Amino acid sequence: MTDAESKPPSVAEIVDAHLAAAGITISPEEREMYVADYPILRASAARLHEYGDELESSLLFDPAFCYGEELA
Amino acid sequence: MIANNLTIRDAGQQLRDGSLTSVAITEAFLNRAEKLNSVLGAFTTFTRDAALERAEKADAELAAGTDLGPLHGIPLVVKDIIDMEGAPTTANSEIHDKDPKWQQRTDAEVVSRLRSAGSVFLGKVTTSEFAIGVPDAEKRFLVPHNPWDITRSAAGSSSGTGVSVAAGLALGGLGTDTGGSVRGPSCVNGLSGLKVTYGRVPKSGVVPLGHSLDSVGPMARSAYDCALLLEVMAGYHASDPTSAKAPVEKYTGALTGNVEGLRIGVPEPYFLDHEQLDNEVRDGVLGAVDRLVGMGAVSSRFELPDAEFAKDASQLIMLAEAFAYHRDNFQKYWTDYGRGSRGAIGRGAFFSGADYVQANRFRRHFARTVAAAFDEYDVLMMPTMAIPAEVLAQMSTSKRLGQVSFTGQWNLTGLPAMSIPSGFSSNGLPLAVQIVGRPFAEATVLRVADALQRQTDWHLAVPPVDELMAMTGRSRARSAATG
Repeated sequence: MTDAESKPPSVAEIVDAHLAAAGITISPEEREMYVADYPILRASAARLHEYGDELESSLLFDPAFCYGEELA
Repeated sequence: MIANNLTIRDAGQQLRDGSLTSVAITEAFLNRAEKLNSVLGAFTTFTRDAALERAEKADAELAAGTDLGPLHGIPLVVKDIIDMEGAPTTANSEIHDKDPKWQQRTDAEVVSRLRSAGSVFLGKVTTSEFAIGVPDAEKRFLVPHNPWDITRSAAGSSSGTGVSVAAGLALGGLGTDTGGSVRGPSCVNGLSGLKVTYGRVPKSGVVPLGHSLDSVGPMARSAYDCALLLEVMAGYHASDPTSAKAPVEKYTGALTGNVEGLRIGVPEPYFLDHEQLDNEVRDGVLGAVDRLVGMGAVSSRFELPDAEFAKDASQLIMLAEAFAYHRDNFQKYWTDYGRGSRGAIGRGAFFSGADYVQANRFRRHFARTVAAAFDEYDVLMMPTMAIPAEVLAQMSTSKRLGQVSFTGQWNLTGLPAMSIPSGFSSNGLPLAVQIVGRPFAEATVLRVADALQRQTDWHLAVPPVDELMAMTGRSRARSAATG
């Protein structure tokens, strides 16, 4: 394994990868802003994941809508 | 001469006793609004001809004994992400310029209801672009300014409704609230604004921001006026499958002034001890609670855990849902969006499907926690915003990410939450308190707000409109903000 392969990606590289996946092209200034934002955004999501499986499932699927209220 | 602090309730009485006509109010407001728009940036579209035609009809109907109710002949404004016949829905965005379908719209269900009740629509008013972010002065839209101090923000996203009602350019209007967008502008402009229970008012014909958090709510000078508006706005409609079938109450009938025995919970931590909370804002909240206690209510502080996580979850869900809506246009038209809105919504690219699901699982957990609090309390009270109106030139999208929020928690849980004035800061800016109720308990929230307004007159205070009029011609509204 080379050094390049073992080195974790930088925040800037991760930001670039997310935006490339989304198909969005931004300015260098905006990229700089997102590089600063990224750790804050990920920290906020990570805090919610800390609850793990203690949380019950959420009802993103709505049987009443899909089957009708009588069958759901 | 139309008073700058005229209420819907008072105007209705004057329309019926013959001391005022709908045409007179409508014309006066339009004249004032058209003159002040260069300073305040409140309107995106004026619908003068249609408004005067409707006002004339209202006067004739009332004279003939045909009375459509308390909103008959009342001039209102509509936030420009809500469809209204006779005007485009710009969403304050050049993106909508590209698609002819946004140029001619039919009434959103909520607008249709107000129109059927005889309301007069003066025009469409400014929103933050797509209801999010800070204004971008480089785009073609006017930047809204706070009428109490035009160097300061009118907040967002229902900025134009807040500015126009505060400055006496309309008697009331529609806002939308996904994370605080009715309550924030109501707070900083010195108004009363109600974020309704999720589903209380149909959202069909409204450009979405976060579809599982969005709501349409009334903004006006008083809680009583908000009750009048909500009585017409509320109720299920098949065009919005998320609208609720819960019965609509006679909200004005609940405004008895009686809060004897009302149980007020003041949640801690976060809401009263956050380091970003301004002392005068905190004092305003505690003063309002004390006033209600003096009227027979009882209050206590209680621990409501996870409020900051709830803010995070609300924001994550909003950004993910907004990003899903805008993704395709971001790929094609990124730079045609304003810097503030694209910067904010673009953050949705950094969340995963797992993040969104976990935020919704947390949402249920937090809703249960809050529901348990409502076993002990009838309403919860806290600040609406941590500080009075911000200086426009100091606002930025990045700064907003780290800011405390006391409003998104109630979008996350879907609960009704109202902002009303609680005084003024030492430099003359409006302060506000937030009142949160159980699901569909708008009547209780309005009753508490109205009880406070029977003992105070902050909601009737008016910004320096005459000074603003003197500024017209010297100033352009597009000036201050940075992305």
